[in-house]
Amino acid sequence: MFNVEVNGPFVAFFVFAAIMIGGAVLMISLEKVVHMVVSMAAVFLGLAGMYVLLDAEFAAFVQVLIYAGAVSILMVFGIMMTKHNAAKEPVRPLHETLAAVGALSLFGLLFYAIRQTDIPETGAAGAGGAPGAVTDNTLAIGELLYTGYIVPFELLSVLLTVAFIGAISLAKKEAE
Amino acid sequence: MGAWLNESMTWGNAFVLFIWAVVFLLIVLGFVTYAIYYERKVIGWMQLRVGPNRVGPLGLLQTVADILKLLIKEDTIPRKADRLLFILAPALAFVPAFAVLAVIPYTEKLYFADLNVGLLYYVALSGITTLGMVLGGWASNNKYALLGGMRSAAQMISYEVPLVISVVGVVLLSGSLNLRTIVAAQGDWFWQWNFLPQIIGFVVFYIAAVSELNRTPFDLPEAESELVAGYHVEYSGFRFAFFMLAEYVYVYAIAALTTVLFLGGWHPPAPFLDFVPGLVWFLLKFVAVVFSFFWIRATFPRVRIDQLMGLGWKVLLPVALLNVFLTALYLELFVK
Amino acid sequence: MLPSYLTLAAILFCIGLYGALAKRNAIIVLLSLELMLNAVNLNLIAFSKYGVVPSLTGQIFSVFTITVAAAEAAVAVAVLIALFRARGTVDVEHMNAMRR
Repeated sequence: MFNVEVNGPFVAFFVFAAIMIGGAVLMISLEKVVHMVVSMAAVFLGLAGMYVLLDAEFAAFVQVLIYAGAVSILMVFGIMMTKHNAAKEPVRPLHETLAAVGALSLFGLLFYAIRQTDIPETGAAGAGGAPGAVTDNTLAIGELLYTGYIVPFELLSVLLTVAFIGAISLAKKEAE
Repeated sequence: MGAWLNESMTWGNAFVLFIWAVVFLLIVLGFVTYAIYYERKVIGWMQLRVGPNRVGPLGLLQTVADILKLLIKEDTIPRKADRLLFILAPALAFVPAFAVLAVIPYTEKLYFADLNVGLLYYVALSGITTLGMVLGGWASNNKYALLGGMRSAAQMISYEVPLVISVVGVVLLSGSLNLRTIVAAQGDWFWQWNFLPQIIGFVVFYIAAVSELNRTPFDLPEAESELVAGYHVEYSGFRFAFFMLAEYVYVYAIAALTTVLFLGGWHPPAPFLDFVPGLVWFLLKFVAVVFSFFWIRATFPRVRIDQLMGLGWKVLLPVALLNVFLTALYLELFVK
Repeated sequence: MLPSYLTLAAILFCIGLYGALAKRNAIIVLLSLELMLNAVNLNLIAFSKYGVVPSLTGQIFSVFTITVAAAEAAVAVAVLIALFRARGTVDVEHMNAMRR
């Protein structure tokens, strides 16, 4: 099972995985909401590191820009504009246990599926025209985005505009 | 420098890279020390004063003395502050400020990281500093600090949008996000540099950059007369020094970025001047940009917060979008 | 290397699922949703490098997902602020009616 050689990418994977799982667990278990957002920012950054390991630089820095930068700050704003009483919320043992059992069994199922699946090692080397060999990841993504994926791209820009206007009109104070 | 990056990572190479990083950090600290001195001198001259002139010859050691004073000050943490975040915030603000410098190319040979997403890397990481400022303001548990933090976040996010869109024109012209390619794509004569073909983009970029730096006339987050000092009211000693350091390292970063994107990087203004090394040209342009920031600070009044937001969203953003449109039209009609 | 990435993504997804089901603070539920989306993105990008047919499609798709998630976060925070103004709470248990 642990027949992996210890090299640079492996160590990096391990470090990023530790940051991400640690951040996610802290996010669930911390008391203050702002602390949760900060640990979530650590998860986002670790994920960006993973993307760099997977040769997806463009997605990695988009991840940092959108998640670690914008979404985290948006959440902090959301927290500051609403009130979070420090008083402990009443515990619901049954509900929480059920949720934990559900999540754990889903993980068990996924893990079983991952262990059972026989994945052929093809693109790992990145040779023979595989995208791992693409030197300019950004250029390749840009070309794909404006040729094969132009319709989803345009639809997405419409979606963003709608969300932008909708968010402003929702959050605006209503005239008394 | 570039050759080191392509070799395999051994302990020896890692050590060399580490030493380079330390040397570079010292250079940046030296820059910050003398940028503060230079700023005080420039503002002094513009206001018909002398500026710092007591500590050391010509006052050259004034900043060193100030930093020393900050470092030996008592480090206070307010009792009702959120301890963990209060300690974390200055580091969160400073680390990205230093990390963004990695992608700036100084000459053809002297650069640290050759990323093909260099510009995106810069923009993405500089966003994290905002998070540090907001958290610092929140963790202080102080009304002024919180207001300063919120203002700083609102301002930096609003101005990041025109800043990025104004650069899209440059990216269109050079066809790359790699900062080295962007410099190489600019011509030999100074009118072929991006600041003339992209004059609209350059103006928008410059205004948005001053605002990103939280400097006068856009220094609302730390407006002394209304907010005491903004998000770092409660900070003292070396934690305060970290915030100041982050601010001045961003002056360095933005000035270097302006030089790279719009002022031709290491290119001399005319081909026959290339007996002067590229680094000298880079430094000359860099110092000119830094001087212009200080000049603006000394001569402009501060704007109001609603004017600031209005300027960002209603003026700079449409103008930047117009610039992208015009550049694309030009490329389609005359270049292709 | 692929099974490691998939397992990591599964762990993150399940933590996010637990948070979304068990927590009552709307902001934490939102963060948990983001965590689940991120886990999916990790899978997409891992498959784009190590999958049977490596291609850039996975990366493109994850960029799209990130964009949609950003729009979702913005609208969600706006809804949250509007709800907080109307009800004075961010507890999802109390957000069970369309109007007061």
